[in-house]
Amino acid sequence: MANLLAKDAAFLLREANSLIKSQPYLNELHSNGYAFLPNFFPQLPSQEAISILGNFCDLGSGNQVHCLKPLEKSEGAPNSYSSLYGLENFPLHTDLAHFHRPPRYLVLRCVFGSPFVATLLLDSMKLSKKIGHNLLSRAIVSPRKSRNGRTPLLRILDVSDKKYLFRWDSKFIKPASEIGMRGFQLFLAAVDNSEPDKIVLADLGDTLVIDNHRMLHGRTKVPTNCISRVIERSYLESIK
Amino acid sequence: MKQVIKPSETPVDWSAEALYNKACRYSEKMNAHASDTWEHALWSGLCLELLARAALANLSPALLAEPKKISNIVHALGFPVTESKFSPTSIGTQMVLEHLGNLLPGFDTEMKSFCSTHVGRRNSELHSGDAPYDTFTGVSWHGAYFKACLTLLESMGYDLSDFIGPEQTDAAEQEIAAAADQAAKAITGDVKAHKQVWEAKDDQERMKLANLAELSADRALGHRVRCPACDSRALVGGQAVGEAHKELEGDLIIEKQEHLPHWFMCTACGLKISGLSKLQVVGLGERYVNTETYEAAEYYASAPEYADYQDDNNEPF
Repeated sequence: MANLLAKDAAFLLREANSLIKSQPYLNELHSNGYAFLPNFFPQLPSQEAISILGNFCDLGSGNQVHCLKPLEKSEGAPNSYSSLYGLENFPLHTDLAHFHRPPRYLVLRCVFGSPFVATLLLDSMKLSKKIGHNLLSRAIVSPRKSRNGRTPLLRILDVSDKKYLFRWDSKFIKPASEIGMRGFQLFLAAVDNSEPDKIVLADLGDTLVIDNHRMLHGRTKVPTNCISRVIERSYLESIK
Repeated sequence: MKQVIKPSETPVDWSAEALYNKACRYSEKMNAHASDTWEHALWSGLCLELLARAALANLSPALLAEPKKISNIVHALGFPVTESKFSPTSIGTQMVLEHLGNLLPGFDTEMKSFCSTHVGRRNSELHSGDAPYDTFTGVSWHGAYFKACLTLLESMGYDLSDFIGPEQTDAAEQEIAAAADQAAKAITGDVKAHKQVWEAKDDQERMKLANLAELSADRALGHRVRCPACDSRALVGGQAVGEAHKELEGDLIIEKQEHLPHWFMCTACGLKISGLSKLQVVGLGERYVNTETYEAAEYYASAPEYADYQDDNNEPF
């Protein structure tokens, strides 16, 4: 029996790998900044399904797959969005914006979804171009609090060496210079006036891959009858 | 070869990016003050220091580590340090500039000298009752300053506009050009003056001085060139750039190394020029190849112990 199950899992993994190579999801990811894979091998545990897509980030000890559930403010850990916003909208942000090197890709995978809660997505490239790369590249920010005893200075946008790295979090990073303040205010206003895309992770296996160096993401309000929603999250350093 | 033990990332406060970002912040402070104020000059010194450290860290963060203690290098490379009560130490700014002079093309002796003096004023400002920046007002130093900043920025893939913004960049570029133009006028005037004095001498004296110059322009002391004022044989000297190339010719080892000139001296008319930018104006700023020839035994012999001591048994008897 165990042999049969192992053979099934191996078969599924092979199927998934060949499907990934033939699917245009990579093109979608590169052009849109995110890719939605509905019903992506729901039979597979998230660890295995996500490992097909890319290589996990090394963020130290701890699981590579994190379980996210809607929480009231009082229930959330003090340094989390849940403690700040509870079941209300999560504002648009990039994950771990206060890190020197935020993870490149964020993967959200539905375990128990809801059609009434949407993930919001906004492309920073369009907004940053309007404001001006020169200004945002000189906009110095710093983490809200020190990490490992260090408070490095960061920039909202880094376009050196032909790469694009945009970091944004209106709570976890703060302006650290005059131009930082100007860039922060301009981008905040731009975000407030924007219309993000909406993706609903409703069914088991619905998977959203987000370029965390480019796309801001958020979450709409969670109605009280949707608090059983469960999403699993991982960070990837590269895509296969 | 497989790397079994891998380092973590460079500690963030030693990274080129963090140092560059701080330099950016300091440049804002610098430009927030009028250019003829001591505050502007002080922030410019601090900014230049951080920019230099960023440029060196960009080559390798290990170059910033104080080498007397291996733990500093281990830390800079991202490996764990087992030493208790360890506090990482980096090299002083003068050593940073020394390393940049050796490693960065374009960061020549003249530039290094300017940076060294400019950041040195910071020590006097912060550690003594003196006010060195109060008499360092005006913008006469801006040309050399922004030229140094540009060299450091370009080594990291940036330009002035990335650092100080497009509005300030126009002015900075004009100041760089004006400084070069001023230096050019000064040295051209100097050459002209020496030429006039030379031509006022009689033929016999000129011949005598030219012959002496021919003898004293020793290849061992520098690279032989023609003086732009009197056309006598003269010397330029400079610093090595890049590695030496070795060739074997019979029993001899020929070592050739490119040098970038930074001084000129003519013993015939007395013209002396210091600084690559001035040498370039008079057409003597090109790199030259210094060739040394060694016998194999001489090349591979270890340095003599007690080389500074006199011979043993030198007591009179």
